[in-house]
Amino acid sequence: MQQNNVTVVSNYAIAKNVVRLDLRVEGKLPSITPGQFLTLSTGRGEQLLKRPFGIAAYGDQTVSVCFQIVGEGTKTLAKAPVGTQLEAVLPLGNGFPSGYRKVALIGGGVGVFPLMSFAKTHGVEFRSFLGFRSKEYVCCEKEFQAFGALSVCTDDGSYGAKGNAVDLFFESGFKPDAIFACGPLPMFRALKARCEGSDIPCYVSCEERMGCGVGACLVCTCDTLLGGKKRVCKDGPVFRVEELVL
Amino acid sequence: MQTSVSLCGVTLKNPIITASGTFGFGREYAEFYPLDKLGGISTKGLTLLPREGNPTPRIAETPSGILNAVGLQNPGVEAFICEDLPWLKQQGTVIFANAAGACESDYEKMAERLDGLVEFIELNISCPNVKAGGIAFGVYPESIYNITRLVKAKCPHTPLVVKLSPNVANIAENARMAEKGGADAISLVNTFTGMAVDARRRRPILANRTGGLSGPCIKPLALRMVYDAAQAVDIPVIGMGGIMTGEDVVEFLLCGATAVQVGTANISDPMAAARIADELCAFMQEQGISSVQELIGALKV
Repeated sequence: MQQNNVTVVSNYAIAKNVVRLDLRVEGKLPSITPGQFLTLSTGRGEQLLKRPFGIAAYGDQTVSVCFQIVGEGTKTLAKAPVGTQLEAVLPLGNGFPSGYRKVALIGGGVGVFPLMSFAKTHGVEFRSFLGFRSKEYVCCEKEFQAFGALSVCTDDGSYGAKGNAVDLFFESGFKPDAIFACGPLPMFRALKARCEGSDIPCYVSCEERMGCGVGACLVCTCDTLLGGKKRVCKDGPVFRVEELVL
Repeated sequence: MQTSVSLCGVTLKNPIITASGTFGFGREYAEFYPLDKLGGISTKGLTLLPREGNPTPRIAETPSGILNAVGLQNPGVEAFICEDLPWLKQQGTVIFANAAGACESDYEKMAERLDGLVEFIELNISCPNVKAGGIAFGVYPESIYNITRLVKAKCPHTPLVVKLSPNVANIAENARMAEKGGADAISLVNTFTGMAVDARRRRPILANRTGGLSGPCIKPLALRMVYDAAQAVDIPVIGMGGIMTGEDVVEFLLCGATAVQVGTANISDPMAAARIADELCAFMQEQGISSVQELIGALKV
């Protein structure tokens, strides 16, 4: 992990209240694995904390993040003009495990963005199951279709199937070697319950309010069944769903 | 150019020490820069037994500050000595073991256990005294005198730094009492008690409701207290509270600090402490200051 100066190269809305930032990284971009995240300064001096965002896409000299505008930091970043210079610490966290050949990606709402980072992974069959609140929140279809089959649903049925991404996956009959998921807590609880006793390992990417983002300050802990408190930024954000107290 | 300082007979290569709770035991930041760039490291607060700490959320951002309520999560003093101390001793910096407790005998046992193992013991007395209705050890002058005296008797081989809480009526009096109790140095300030509220959800942001405020927003409060404490005692003072730049370090040295601690800055910027050490040198170069000694207590009033 390293601290980098970055420059905003594009900033645009991709769904209702959701923004994508493409950042050019100064210097050598460290090697990134899917599921890792970065922390990003907002550009406003009185906002001390860097904000954590899953890495949605990355290239030779660029990284991209997508986020919902939920608070003071994301409000500031959403208004950052092209050319804005920020600082980012990356790559952070453990990322999703490699070695599986057939993977189901299950994403809920803003949880879809870290899953987009599999776009460059070769030799793996991906099938994506994405759920959104309603039509105005649906995004990233093209990006997911580019690397695998995609099914989309919305809570209210205004786009795609009606329902949630977990049901969409179980109804599909797809039998993967592993499930990689990211989304709200109720989605994790549903996955934990339905994967109980199954031999398909299910990995979830968590979030928690963070401080340093590198594992030192201990504010972002989560509870595990057998391992006590773990740091979402360093021991995670990806955990086996059975490990977690949800 | 001379940046080293002597603290209770121990030489620190520069006055920059990282503050307890912001730096773990050093391993994470060692991935960003070699720890021998620092004058010293104060460890995460240690307790006799491992502690899990508070439920989350444990952090809230405030204008130019943060509130934290980690709750002293730490692996316990034994695990530190076995698993972290050997590695830390190889990093080429001075170690301050930060010790906490819930009652007098906890503190005494911590002091006994750590005596002789590290260069300094830093006493965290912002912990509630469970036998005194939960009032922190570091609130009343008599309590500070008492706990310092008891602890110093148990660590005769290791200089004792008493870390003062700012949530008090009279910081100068508290500093005097720490000195009278036998403290070899004092460090201040710890965090200020504060709260953050979510207006729409109508709830506190921290699960613990209150937390400790730190960061640039407290620097003016900290500078005043460091100045008053340094005026009140003869023992060395380690100053902290909102240091983000080399110039901030100079401000604390001028107010009477022999060394400083950098805490919240690390959370905002992983390179902070190393960068601040470089900025201090740059400031001295620019101002034609050949030794940090020229700055300590040099405030003109």
